Amino acid sequence: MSDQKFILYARKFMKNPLLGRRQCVVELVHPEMANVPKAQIKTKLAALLKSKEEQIAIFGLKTKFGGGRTTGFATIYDSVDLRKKYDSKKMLRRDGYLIRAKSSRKQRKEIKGRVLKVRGIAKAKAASSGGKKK
Amino acid sequence: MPQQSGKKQLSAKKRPMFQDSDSGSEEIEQDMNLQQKFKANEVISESEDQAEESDDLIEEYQKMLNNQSQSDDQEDDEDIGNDDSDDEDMELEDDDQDDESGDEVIHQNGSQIDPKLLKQIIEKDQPELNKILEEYIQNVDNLNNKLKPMMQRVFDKNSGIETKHGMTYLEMKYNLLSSYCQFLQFYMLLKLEGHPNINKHPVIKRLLHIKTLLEKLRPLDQKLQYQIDKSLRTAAISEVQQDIEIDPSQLLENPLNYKPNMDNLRDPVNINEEFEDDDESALGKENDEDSDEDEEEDEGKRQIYKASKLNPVYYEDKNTKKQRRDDMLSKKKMGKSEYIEQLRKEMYDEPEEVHLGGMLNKKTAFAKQMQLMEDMEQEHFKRMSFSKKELKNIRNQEKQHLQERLDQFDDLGDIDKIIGSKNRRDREEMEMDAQLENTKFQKGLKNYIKNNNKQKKGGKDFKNGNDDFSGGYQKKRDQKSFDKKQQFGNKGGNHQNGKNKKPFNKNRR
Repeated sequence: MSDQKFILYARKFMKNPLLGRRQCVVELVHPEMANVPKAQIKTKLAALLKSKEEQIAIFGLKTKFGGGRTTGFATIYDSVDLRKKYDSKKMLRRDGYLIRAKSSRKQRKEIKGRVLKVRGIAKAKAASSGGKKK
Repeated sequence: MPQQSGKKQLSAKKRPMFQDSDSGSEEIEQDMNLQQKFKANEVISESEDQAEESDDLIEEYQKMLNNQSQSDDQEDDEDIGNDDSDDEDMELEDDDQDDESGDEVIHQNGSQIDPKLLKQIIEKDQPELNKILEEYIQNVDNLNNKLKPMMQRVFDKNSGIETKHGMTYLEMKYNLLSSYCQFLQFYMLLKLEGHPNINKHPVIKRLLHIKTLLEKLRPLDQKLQYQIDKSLRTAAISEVQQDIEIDPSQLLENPLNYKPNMDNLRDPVNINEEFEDDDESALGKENDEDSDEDEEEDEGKRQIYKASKLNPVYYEDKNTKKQRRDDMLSKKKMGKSEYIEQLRKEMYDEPEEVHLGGMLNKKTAFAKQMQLMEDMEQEHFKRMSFSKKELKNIRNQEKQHLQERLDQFDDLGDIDKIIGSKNRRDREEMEMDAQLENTKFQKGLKNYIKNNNKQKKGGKDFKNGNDDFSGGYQKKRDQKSFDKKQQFGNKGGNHQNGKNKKPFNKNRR
């Protein structure tokens, strides 16, 4: 893939000190590409706003009918810790900061059954898959 | 008459110099003397006479008047013991003179002293006098100059005014005023005679009573003034124009002769209801009285002016309204159709707007909606989610809007309605049919010509000896059979004979 260019505009810029971030609407013009990968967007944004790529979360990208134009949202956190604290879990999962416990459906249902049978503190024990009791 | 009784009492208790006129000749003589003195000294108007005569009486009089004006029953206890005894006759309206020398002097010299000085003196000594006198004068004026002539005129039989209802008021007023004057006179008499404990005398109560009555009647008087004047005028007219047969009673009865009265325009029923409504609205309607209120309001509403149904009005059925609305809508749609926009481009000199795609044209409703959605999303920093159906719908609309529609002349159905032509489809079909028919006809014609060129008509070909009157038909038939005979031999016929069959054609089509 040749290095295709795209133009990036950051609009409706707003500071959100409560959540320790800055947020803006991202407009892209990419006549040659169908979609712009988020990584590229992040690099450009980081360069623009003088931050690191790990602190940026991009979401809600929508391409206009006919192609060539995309709009989306971007939240730029002041630090990675703040991001881990305040960002939504969906975005964190996308970027790999949150790992979802991969347990099969069957296992989950078994655990649930065990937990239901017990009352009080013992629930925690059952949830930690203490194995079958007799 | 209370005055007479009072006088009798006086005569019982004290012996004034001048007694009642009923008593004897002495009084008459003395009266005559007084009168002579009176006449000798003064030939002036009433007011000055009274002011000069009754100097000592004024004080309490005024106080009485003050108290009357304040509607107080209590009065001052200042009893100025006036040894001066004066006699007042009911008939005489003027107060009699004092016998004291000092007063006599003043009295005698009253004409010589300035009235202003007099007034000042009087005010110092007995300020009451002035007021009482004024009061007296006013009432007497009223009596003499106004009421009396009115009464005379009214009760005159020639005037012709009916005296059933309105004139009782006049009578009453007349009586009131006269009695008031009488009481005033008596009061003055008492004062002059030095009656002790005047405050307990019933005269004062009477005076007060009448005074209050008069004051209450004053507003009534004002209201009735117009009526009274009117009646007087009619009386005057009747007097003046006795030759002309104008009936003053008719004049009075005819309401057009009176001036307009705004208060009469309102219905008295409505007025009451209005006030009621206001009160209720202020306080809040009560549930118990709702039904009653409604009834009253309805009745009141019935009395509101309603236009009379004399002129015919165009009747509009409900359907026509709908039709009208539909027409309006269709017209609006028409205005938006591409056809008319093209027309508009031709006609007007507007600058042309070229849109790359439907979406860039921000005037369309769809574009506006999308723009709105975008704004909301960006404001709240999140995307809206749609169901599958909704998404599909949106995509479809987008597609429609992006394409430049060439088949936008479809919306001619609206124009058809207005033009009144048939359905476009029908028209097309008709055209097509016409064309088809034309072609058919053309074809038929061609064939016919061909055939005719080949075979000349039999009837006309006498020269050749072909007596064929069927127009070549028989020949054709004959020829056919002839041809067939040639082909198949004598056996002929349509069915295939012999071996000379046509080959079986698989690909018959």
